[in-house]
Amino acid sequence: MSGRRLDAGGRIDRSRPIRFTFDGRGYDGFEGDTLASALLANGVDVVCRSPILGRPRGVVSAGVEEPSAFVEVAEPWFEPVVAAPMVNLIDGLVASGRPGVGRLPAQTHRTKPSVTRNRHVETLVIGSGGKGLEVARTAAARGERVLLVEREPYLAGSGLGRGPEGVEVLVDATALGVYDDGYVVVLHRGPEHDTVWHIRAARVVLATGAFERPIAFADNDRPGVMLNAAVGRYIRDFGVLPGARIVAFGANVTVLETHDLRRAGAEIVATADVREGWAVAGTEGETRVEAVHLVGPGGERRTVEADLVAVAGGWNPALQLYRAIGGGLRYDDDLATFVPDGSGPPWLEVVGAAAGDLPPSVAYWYTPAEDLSRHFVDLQRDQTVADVLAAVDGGLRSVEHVKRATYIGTAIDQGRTSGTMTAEIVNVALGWELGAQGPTNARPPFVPVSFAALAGLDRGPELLDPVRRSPMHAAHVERGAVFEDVGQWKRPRYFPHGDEDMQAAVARECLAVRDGAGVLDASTLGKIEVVGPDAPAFLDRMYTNRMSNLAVGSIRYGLMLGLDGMVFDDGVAMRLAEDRYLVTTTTGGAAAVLDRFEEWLQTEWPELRVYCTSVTEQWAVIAVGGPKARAVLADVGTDLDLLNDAFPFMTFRDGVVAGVAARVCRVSFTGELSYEIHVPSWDGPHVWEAVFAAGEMFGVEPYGTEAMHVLRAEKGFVIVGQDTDGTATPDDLGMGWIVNPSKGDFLGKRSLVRPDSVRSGRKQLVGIVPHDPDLLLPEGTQLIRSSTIGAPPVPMLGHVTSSYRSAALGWTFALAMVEGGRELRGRTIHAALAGGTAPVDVTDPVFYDAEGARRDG
Amino acid sequence: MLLIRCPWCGARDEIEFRYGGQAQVAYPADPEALSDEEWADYLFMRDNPKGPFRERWVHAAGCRRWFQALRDTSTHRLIATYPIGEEPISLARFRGTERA
Amino acid sequence: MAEPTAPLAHRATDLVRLHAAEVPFLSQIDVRCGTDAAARLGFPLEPNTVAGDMVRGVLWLGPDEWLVVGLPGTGPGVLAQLQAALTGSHASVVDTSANRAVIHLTGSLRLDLLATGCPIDLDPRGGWGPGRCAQTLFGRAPVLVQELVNATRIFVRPSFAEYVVDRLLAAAKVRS
Repeated sequence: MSGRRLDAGGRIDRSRPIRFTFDGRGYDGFEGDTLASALLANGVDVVCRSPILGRPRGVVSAGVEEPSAFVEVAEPWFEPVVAAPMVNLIDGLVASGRPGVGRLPAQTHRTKPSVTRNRHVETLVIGSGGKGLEVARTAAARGERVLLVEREPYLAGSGLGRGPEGVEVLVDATALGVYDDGYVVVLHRGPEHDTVWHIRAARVVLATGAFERPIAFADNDRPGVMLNAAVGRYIRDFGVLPGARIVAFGANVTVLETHDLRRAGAEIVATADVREGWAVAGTEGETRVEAVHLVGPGGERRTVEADLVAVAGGWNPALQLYRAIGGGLRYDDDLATFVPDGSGPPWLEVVGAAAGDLPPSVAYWYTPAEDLSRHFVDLQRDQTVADVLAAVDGGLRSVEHVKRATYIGTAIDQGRTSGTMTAEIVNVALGWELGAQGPTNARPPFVPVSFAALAGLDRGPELLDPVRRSPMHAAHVERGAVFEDVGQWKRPRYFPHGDEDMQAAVARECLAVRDGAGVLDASTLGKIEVVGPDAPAFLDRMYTNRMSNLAVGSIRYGLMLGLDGMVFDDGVAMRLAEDRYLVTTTTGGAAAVLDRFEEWLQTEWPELRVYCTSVTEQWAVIAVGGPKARAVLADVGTDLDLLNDAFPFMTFRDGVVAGVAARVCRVSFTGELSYEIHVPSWDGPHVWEAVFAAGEMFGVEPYGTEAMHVLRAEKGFVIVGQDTDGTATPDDLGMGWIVNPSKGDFLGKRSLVRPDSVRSGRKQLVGIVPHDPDLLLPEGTQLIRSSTIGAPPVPMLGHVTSSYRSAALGWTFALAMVEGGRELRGRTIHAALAGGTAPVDVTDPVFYDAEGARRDG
Repeated sequence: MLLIRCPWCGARDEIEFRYGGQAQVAYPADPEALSDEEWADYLFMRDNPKGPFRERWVHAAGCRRWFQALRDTSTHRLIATYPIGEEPISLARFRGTERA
Repeated sequence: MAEPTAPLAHRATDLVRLHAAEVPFLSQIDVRCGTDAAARLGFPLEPNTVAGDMVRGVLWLGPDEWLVVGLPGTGPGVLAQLQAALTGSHASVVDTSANRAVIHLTGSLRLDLLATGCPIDLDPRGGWGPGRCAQTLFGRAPVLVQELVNATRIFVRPSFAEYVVDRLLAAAKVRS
């Protein structure tokens, strides 16, 4: 017969039936069942087929060590592969047997919601046996914050769902890993959502218990061969009798309580105690055990009719978490297994069965036989004693090598039942002492966990990574902006009119700036106030050019280098007062530049009296550019004199714009007359709208990052991080003019005269004009000397860093980094494209208004 | 995840910090006086010992202070953290005494 | 006419669902100076603590950095006062009032909600309570958290403010 539900007993709630589906058939179970107990109760012997040999497999254990019965859960939440004893039965559960290999569903599936929570405690106890409870109780009595986690739905030591007074208890909570300094990640499975606890504990106590070990014999993978303690647990906790005619086999057959069995209507038909020389040699049966072959001390054989073999091979302490954090093992002769050797981090303790507090046992790993090819060691990998011995015969000595040759221990259970067995089979085969080498290491996570669970809330378009929005974001949405991601920022890329595509919108926006006026949200620029009597000297050391002689009220462009002499970031410095500057950085470089300022001030030059404060988000920045910019700003309303003489290029003025206090800067990234209006970020939306209200009669247009890129590239202005990649010196970019070697030392200066920085043949910034005026080169296009692509390796001259259509010029153009590029100006080289090459001219990188006549309007 | 003791804010999770490499590699007083080899040595070469190692960290998501740490590279254990410029612990005392 | 726009004005309803509200336009002056000057001004010298109250509080940000928080509109006055008081000391006083949005979180679950994203110990049994502040992370956003009596304030860059609200809402949804 097969398993069946007993009339009484167990922790299940018989008043709460649960309907579930397995392999397409409906079954009944009870609240408190696991999928494994419910399948056993329904007489389902075969849960899945083994992955390589296709052999029928049933339930072996009642817990996380399960090596055999694996399922895919389709409803209510998809889980690709999970052990049947680890699935709590819930209404509407739909599952099917899977060999120990998961698969992704064809369709998108619902993932269970999950949230991470951080906790700090003085003592974390993992495992709720008697010893774990005792440790928790003692710690709580000392007034500590104590958390006890138990992977089962109730506490092992008390059978209750709550712990000692003052102890917070999480049940259905499995520690996935123990990491440095008492950091423990715990997966807490709830009915509606999972919680991934990130716990920081001053002391971690592992009361993780022990796993019963199996013994290999012929056809020991047949459904109906179970671990002895699991049989007891199914009877006691679930009121399920997994079999009625039982063969008890092992070195340590003390657990099965015969009166339980008798009451349940079962009997032990034979006992094979290896200490008396008896063993199970093999099993027979169709889909489950029907007969059991026994072998005696003198080699005598007998066969009994039986439907269940309960195997008690002794106990192995559950030390997976302990070993992963560096705990070591020693061999214990009495237990015939490995126990903690007392090493490991000082905040970690192992107690109870996990520490070796276990009944003694003899070493007996498999029943000897001529044919060992059906003595299964790792059921999930379909590997047998014969496979292990073949690996040793092949010359392997280390269990690490045997693991990699056989894959034993690499499946979901990570060798919980097979690891020590494999090590000892290898040890014995080599003629080494028992325990000469121990099992291979298991690594976190202790049980399978989905990435979705680990991600917690941090998934989806809004929360995977922060979405940063400018103060004017709502206005951009209203104007129909198409956004692009710039780092974490959402920046308007372009503002289409009607069903305009990007090309048309960008051309229109560019012409608006060149012919009329355009408005850009430049709020994302990094901004840092640099204050103190040594601020001028400090900035002279940070930038390649001199900032100390900048006049108050003036602005200067600056370039920063890495210590290796390569361009790191750029921006402008405004001198607000003798001892006060405001410097801007690129959008992406804001944090890095402030970090670098602080690093040098704190670690190298603590004597400099300079303080830095980030004001990136204090200020909204609205850039109004174009020939009509002055007229627009005048109409917006300002008390500033906007005429060139009163307010020249590269100066700033504090005043009132649109009724609010503002700082207006005459800088230009487009080559056109431009005013950058800086106002407190909460005033940004108001001023932004005021610019449009005033600019309506001038045809003012908002423009996005794409038009900004085109406009600056027409002027040959580089974008650090787009045209540079950390290997360009200022000279490579044609910006040697901004390096002032006479002013004293600055970061990166020494590297500018390293042999590699001054060698010929470095890549230099050039303009590229395709002969075909309509050919838009993809950014990243490789540039080569000849029109034919020869045999590899093809010598590369360089690559395209920026490429656009210019509405002002009427043709396409690009910027590129090309070996010895400045020497090649006026020459034709070739772009390597999919399907052939295209001729392009190398030019100066400034395409528009080279004389700079337009910046004053 | 390490628990790192910021000298000001106390123990915080590693994610609040950024690593700054070997400590006490002083910026040369006069880089231009160095040969190319000497400059390259400063620029590119760092120690990589097994055992106690002086390194710099910054409490990036907290008080933004740089500080020094003595970390055992073989055990990943932070032996001590202290402000820049302080040297409360003798490196020699630890060298070779940590468990491998 | 020139009405300022609070960063979370359009999320007021969502904030109510979190038992929260935006505290807009608070004056926030960033002060950097030495310990002696700070002691003279009555600034808190113990890390991660606050001197003062909800009306005017000084939050410790670093061993030489404090945030002086006051009622809306008081910024320029406080700025001038502090500059005067620090004359002669090496110090930096910068108006950063618009540099951070402020979320006022109430309700008994507020610290649980924050613990879904903050790695620091927010448990009163670990020492967290009124008068404490900390710069840390909420999810992936840098935040400054200040504990008041039965309330918690989150100071966050305006660009991250909606992310923080969205993440708090997501946490509240999963927790409920």
